[in-house]
Amino acid sequence: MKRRTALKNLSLGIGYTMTYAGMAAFVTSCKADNTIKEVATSWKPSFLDEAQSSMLTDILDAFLPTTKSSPGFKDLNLIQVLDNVVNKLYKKEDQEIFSAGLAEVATKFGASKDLKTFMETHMTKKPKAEEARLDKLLDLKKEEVAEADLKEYHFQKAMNSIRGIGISSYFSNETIATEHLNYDPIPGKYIGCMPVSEVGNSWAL
Amino acid sequence: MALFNEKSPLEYDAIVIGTGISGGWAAKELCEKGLKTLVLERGRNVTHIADYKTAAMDPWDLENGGRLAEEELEKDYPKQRRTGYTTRPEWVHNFVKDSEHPYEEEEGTRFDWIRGYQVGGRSLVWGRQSYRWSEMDFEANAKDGVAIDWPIRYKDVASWYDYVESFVGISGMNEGLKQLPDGKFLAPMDFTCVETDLRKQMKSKWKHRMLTIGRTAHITSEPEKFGKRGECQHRNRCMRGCPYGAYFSSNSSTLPAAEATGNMTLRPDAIATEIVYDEKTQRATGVRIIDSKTKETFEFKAKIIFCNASTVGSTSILMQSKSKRFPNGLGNDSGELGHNMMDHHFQVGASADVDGYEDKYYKGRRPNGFYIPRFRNLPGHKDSKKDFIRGYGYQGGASRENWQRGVAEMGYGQKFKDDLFKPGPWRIGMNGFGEILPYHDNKMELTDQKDDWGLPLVKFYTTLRDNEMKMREDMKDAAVEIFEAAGYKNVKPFERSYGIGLGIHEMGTARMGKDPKTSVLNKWNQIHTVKNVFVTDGSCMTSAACQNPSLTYMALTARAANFAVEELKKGNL
Ligand SMILES: Cc1cc2nc3c(=O)[nH]c(=O)nc-3n(C[C@H](O)[C@H](O)[C@H](O)COP(=O)(O)OP(=O)(O)OC[C@H]3O[C@@H](n4cnc5c(N)ncnc54)[C@H](O)[C@@H]3O)c2cc1C
Ligand code: SF4
Repeated sequence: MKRRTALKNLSLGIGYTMTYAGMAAFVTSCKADNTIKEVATSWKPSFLDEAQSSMLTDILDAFLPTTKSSPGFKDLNLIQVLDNVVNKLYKKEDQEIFSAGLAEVATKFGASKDLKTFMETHMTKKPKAEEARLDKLLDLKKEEVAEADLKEYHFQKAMNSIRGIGISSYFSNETIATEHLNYDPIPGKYIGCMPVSEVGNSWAL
Repeated sequence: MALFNEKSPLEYDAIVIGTGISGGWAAKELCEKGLKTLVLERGRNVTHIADYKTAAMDPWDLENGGRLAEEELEKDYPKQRRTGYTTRPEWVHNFVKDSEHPYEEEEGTRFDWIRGYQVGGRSLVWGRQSYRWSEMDFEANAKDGVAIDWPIRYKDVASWYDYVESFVGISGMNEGLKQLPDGKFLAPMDFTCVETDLRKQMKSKWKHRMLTIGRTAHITSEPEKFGKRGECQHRNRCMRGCPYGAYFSSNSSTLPAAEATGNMTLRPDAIATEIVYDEKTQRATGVRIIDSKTKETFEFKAKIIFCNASTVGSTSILMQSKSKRFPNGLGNDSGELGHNMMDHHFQVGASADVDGYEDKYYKGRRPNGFYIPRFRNLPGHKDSKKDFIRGYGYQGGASRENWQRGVAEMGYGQKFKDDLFKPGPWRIGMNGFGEILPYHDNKMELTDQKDDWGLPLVKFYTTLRDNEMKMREDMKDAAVEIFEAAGYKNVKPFERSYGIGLGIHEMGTARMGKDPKTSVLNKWNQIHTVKNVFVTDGSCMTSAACQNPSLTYMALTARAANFAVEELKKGNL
């Protein structure tokens, strides 16, 4: 998957391509939202260990922090979704890549002064040539990656998963979808062209 | 539904094999004409509405984030997953498991046999795009000297298109095009603002290229004409089954009509294995089945048989129906049975960003897109002549990106997050659907390997050839050309991997023709030499055109069923 073009084409076309509704289902929460507090104390990660779970929660909360208008990643305890998806849906080889990548994330995270520095160093856009190199690297199968690039490969792969699942789980979470996006399960009439001011936020489905 | 039980008779006026789009129509027509009809379906029963268990689920209601585990996908759905969308938990139960229903592909080639075994067949999950064929499609083979001529012309099916459209309910716009005849349409669905822009621009910039709204089998107006079916609520969850019955499926439409006559007996879990042939009368006498669950076998008798098990299914049944008279399969004097496999090749087109409509949005989830009808190689338009024959249409849409763009873009933090709640930039994209020519060598065969029911596995030998490859180049170039001419930004062509079958419009393996030496079926979809067997699914197609084909299967089925009943009355069958 290309870092930037990964999902761009999915929203186009009809019938044969994925629909918004279908796309939103990419990854979702496990109903963590209603019982956050209760769950937060009793839930134990199954794929991640406690330290990884807390590190990834911090990182994803930096992506999706609490703001005036909406809760953040941490508030919704969405790390459960990530843990569950990697645990249940990934095949073994992909779990191994993810784990190797996670070790890289931990190293880089530990070497950074703080979360802010980590995000600035690793999660911002790189110069064009460097982005292109990374895109190419990520297109490779693990066996094709040169020894020297392997750490980088694992790191980028894992971060892609973390970002992808993290963001998807957030926006297809029930609270976010129904209270913060525009949720309309049975639209009735379809209106193809209207002022955005009459709608407001993006549709949830 | 009147389901088959121990007291049901073994003898009927008619048997229909398959309950998909074409079988549903055969059942409706034969029952409405008064024939006691047994309808055989190899899959499970699916009760309209009650069995659409995922229809109302939101993303957060679906287990495991609405995805199947990779291991399960690899084990059970290695081929069905090739579409990228059919194997989602919301509707995967409407598709077969490859692990239970395997097939073979010739080395180095690929055939994507995407299918569902259940009452309703693929009518439950189809994309509902519905376009008529035109005179030029029926004439094409004769004019180009390709394969064999169709035994019918547009005038032979025009009134049947009217007939089926009126019952199905098709939303769309009449545009007066030669290559895409008008029809009996319900209210069209809206364009988005950007689509209206492109429609206007194309009208002024191109002589033969135009954009219309997709013609789709949804009730969008006049619901009073459609009995229990309701108006479309624009939820775009159709593949899960529609609780409103707003889109056309056998389950919502034709099977209830057949049921209402009191003449239909439906037998799910019945795998038709063979059509029984009687040499003395030169007629088929009935159909043998295996119960898919108990593996018991039965033989049912009837005066006429409609074979509607889908292209590959029907062709397999005919191939399995061997007798002294037909050692190579029922009606296969020509040797064409299983050959000339076609589909529509796609997965090539372009996408672009569109500026200038940031203050516009839409409401509802339109289960439809726009359509750019064929503009290449139209008779009389010499300027569009290309280095290939035939043509293609585009299906596409323009919409605003949602939060998913956040996955693709690098970014984080408060502003990044708050922005993702707002509608994103407008994007437009379209995908070409091109005609594949009938090649004798693109074929399916039965192998010596057997499935769990002791039936031979199918093996496919299919590849795209020169004409299709050249057309694909043009499908890419012309898409770019159209978006660039419209002034859209960041125009990018795409081409993704495609194998024959992925269009899910497989057809042609028991083609119609004038001459029994080169075709299997005559102009009434009758087997030339076994007059009481009719095959009216995609296997009957002599060429593929570039329009989605199911509407044409419906029209041909209704036409053949009405002919069959007349012939029966005349004592000819
Ligand atoms: C996702 C998807 C999108 C599509 N989009 C479109 C579209 O937009 N427009 C369009 O025109 N077409 C579309 N199609 C294609 C369309 O679904 C088919 O053309 C149509 O369903 C074919 O009808 P049919 O009756 O031949 O076969 P099916 O609908 O496949 O029905 C065949 C039935 O026969 C049964 N059967 C098979 N073998 C046996 C046997 N031996 N004994 C008893 N029963 C048997 C099967 O279980 C099945 O129920 C799409 C298909 C899919 C899967
Ligand atoms: S979009 Fe229309 S047809 Fe499709 S499921 Fe919703 S109401 Fe039914």
